[in-house]
Amino acid sequence: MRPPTGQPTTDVLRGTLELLILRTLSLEPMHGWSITQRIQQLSSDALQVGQGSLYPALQRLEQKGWLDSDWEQTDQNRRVRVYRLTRSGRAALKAETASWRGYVAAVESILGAT
Amino acid sequence: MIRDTVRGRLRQLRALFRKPSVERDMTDEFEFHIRMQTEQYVREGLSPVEARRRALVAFGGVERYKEGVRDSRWTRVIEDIASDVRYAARGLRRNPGFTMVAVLTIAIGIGATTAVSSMLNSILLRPLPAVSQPEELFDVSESRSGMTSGMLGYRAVEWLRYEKYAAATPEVWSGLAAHRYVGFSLATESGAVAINGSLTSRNYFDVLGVRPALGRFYSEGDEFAVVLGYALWSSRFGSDRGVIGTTIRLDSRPFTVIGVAPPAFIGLTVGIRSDLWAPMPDYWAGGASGTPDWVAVVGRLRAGVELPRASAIVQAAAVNIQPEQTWTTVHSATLAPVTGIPVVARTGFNAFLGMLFATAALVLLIAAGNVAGMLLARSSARGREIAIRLAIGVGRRRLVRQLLVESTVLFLIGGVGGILLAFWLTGVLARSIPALPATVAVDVSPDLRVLAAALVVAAITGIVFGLAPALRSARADVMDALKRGGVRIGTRSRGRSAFVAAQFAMAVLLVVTGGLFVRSLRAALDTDVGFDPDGVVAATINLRPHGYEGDQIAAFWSDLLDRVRAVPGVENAGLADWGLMFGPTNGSDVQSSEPGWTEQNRTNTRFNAVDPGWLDLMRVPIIGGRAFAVSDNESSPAVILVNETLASRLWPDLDPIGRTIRFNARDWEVVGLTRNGKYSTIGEQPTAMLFFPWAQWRSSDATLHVRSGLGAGRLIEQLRVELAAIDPDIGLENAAPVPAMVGLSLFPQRFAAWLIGGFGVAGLILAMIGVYGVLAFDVERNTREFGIRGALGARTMQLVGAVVLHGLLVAAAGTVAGLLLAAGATRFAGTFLYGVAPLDPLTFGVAAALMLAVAAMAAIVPARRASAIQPIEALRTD
Repeated sequence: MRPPTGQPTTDVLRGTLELLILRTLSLEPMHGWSITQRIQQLSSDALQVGQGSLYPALQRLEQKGWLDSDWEQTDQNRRVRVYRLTRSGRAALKAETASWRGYVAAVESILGAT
Repeated sequence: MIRDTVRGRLRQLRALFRKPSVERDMTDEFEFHIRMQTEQYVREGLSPVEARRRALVAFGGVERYKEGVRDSRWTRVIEDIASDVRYAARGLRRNPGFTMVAVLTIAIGIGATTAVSSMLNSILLRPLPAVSQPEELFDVSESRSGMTSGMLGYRAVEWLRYEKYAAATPEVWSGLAAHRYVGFSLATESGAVAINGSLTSRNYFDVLGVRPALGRFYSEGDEFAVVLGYALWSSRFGSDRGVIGTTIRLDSRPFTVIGVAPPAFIGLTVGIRSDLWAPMPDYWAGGASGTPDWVAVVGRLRAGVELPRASAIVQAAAVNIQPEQTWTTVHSATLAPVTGIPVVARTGFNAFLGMLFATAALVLLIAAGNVAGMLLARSSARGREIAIRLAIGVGRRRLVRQLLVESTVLFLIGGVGGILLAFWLTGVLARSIPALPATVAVDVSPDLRVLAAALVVAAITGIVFGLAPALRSARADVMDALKRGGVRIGTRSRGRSAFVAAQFAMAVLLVVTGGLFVRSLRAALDTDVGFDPDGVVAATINLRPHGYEGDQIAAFWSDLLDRVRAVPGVENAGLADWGLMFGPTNGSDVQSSEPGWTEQNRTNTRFNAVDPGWLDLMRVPIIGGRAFAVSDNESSPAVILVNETLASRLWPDLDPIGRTIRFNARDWEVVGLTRNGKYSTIGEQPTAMLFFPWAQWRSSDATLHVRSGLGAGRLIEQLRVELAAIDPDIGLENAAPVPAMVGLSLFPQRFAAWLIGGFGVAGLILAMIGVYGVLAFDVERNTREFGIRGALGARTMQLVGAVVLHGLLVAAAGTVAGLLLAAGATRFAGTFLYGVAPLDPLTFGVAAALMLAVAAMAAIVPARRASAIQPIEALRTD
């Protein structure tokens, strides 16, 4: 399903979603919907996060202890679950980022070698 | 960091316990997401309705995501199993009849094994809970010629000999202690009270490594100090902490209370409780000498000393130390681990408990087999439900798990029932121990370890015996099942019939074993004990610690007998060195001292010393010669009476009267012959017995026997009064009616008959349920066939006959197998049987007949059901 803006998008690769969530949450605590928005926005609408994978991923990250969540009230008095990075989450982000970069560089060097 | 992980996981535990709130949170979160998306679309210019629609479409299947979130929780497996458990509970509630029978069946099996294993646990596994490192402790166990062990099965040595051992083997022991059971008289305001306690060496508590509950224990240097047992401290001293340092009078002498033993420490023999401990040297100080002070010897191995080396050193010492009793020769001394069971009784005891455990395990096996059969029948009856679940996509794996959870739940409920049953059973067993002269305290109630084991066994049995029915159910062909209205599970009953036959075989084994023990008890009850115990009360009196000497002793006894005989209602009174049925008496080798008779005529005999009236009082028949007379005194010739067994061993086929034997460096002339009798236990083999006249024996302790028309309780009260009138410091020990002592000696037979007989009955009932189950299942499944046969004109009797015949065939096959099994197995029980052969034809025959009768009975209900099937009903089932 495409958003109304009509721009072609790529589904987030399995395995990178957690990294993207960690990265997004490292900016500030936010709720699920804004995480999808922020990922879309930061990738200039190139990446689209499916809700079906977002929430289970949040659940897994929380289980690993990388995230923490709290219920807060919005200005419009709605209950909203806000996720934030924990200290181990921050450390994990660092490690995952490094490993991702290494991976990308490796793939790149293969693709570049013609 | 790790804290974060732990917190993350703990948070999800909420999913288990607060499921509704977790689910609501999930709904709220998704709703919020969709609302935000809707607002976004509205901002982009869509109408609110269209925006909401698009947002919902964009979000996708809410329920699917919810499931995704649920799956990603680590608690998922637990949630699933919890839901399986709930499902199982619903199913079991829907079928209360099935559930009740199954739970009861399992409860019987688990109850039997738990009760027995809790006995094993308390007797074999934690026999000496208060002793530190009991595995380092060893009994020094001597074997001597000419001596038969007494003292509750300990192989005793003389006190002086113990001291010589300690001096000769210091490199072996970090400590060598001695102890013996003894009756004390404790002086109280209302007269002397008999207390069962122990005399020990001063290092006893140090060697055992017991810690006092209060105060301290005695050690080298403490004089006239006593330690109270916890039970005595709470019953007689009201748990008063101020008792430490006070003085009590024990057998006419003052002792200072210095400590209280912990509740778990009752001595070194399982079940026999000491209520008081005193140092032996103090207690015996100034006492009569000449008779040996028998003690059991226990030592703690020095660290680093290997057992073989220790044994060799002790053995060498044993041979080098001259025995105090010159007529005996020490052959060997061995070291036996201290286990709470006296060395001489150990092998038989372990074998007996092993046999109990095996029979209990058989009960569990039969019970579990029954329940497996019931589960199979049940899943067959639930065929449609299972077919539908399979059809709507419940995985077979999930289905098997569900059925396994169901059987496990069933077994766990049954397990809990079994534990309750075990508590009741062990309670009954503990109460069934008759009143003993010694204080018996054996705690056989299950502890946590046993309970945990019972539940684990229940769960494992549930899984093992639930597996086959579950796998079979899940193998069902769905299409076929739905077409025909149910899964056909277990299309052939041949497997099940073989299974029931096997159950039958095990039940036969149980019934035969139970029957043998019941017959054994019967035989023991019918035994001619060779004396008349009815109306006789016995009690022990010990003058030795009270400072009586020489003529004072004889005067005391004759004064006592005069007083007791004068009590209204008393028929007669007499003295014996040992009370009948008071446990094993001492024994010795004797030989004929006739000219021409040699060493070959040596034989071992038990002996007793009795006053002239005693044989008449106990109604021991004299079948040759004469009884003792008052004229058989210190200055007259040494005379004895022998029983038939001793006479025939010493002088086969000859008249024993007038012959002489050599004993204790004296020649004794046989003046009378008594009939054989039972002396220590009913179950004993024919025992050689020799009676000495009391006046020529001179003992400072005696068992007073009194025959009267008074009740035992009143008589014992009166005896206390008479005793106190002579010497208020002397207590009446071990006072008990002799019939009760006879009953006590029957206790092993009674215990075995009740317990193993009970297991036999349980096996019988379970086998009956098993046969009923397989036949009912058969009839149910073959409703159509029976209906058609009925419609074709088969007579009712033919249909009934077919079902009963099937039942009987299964039962007969099982019974034959069971009889063969029993014929092989019962010889292991042979040593515990009295007056009945392990292959007793009557028992085997009755067991077989009983089993077949039970099978026929079990077949009746299904048979009637088969004959009552209406053809129309049968055709409708498809």
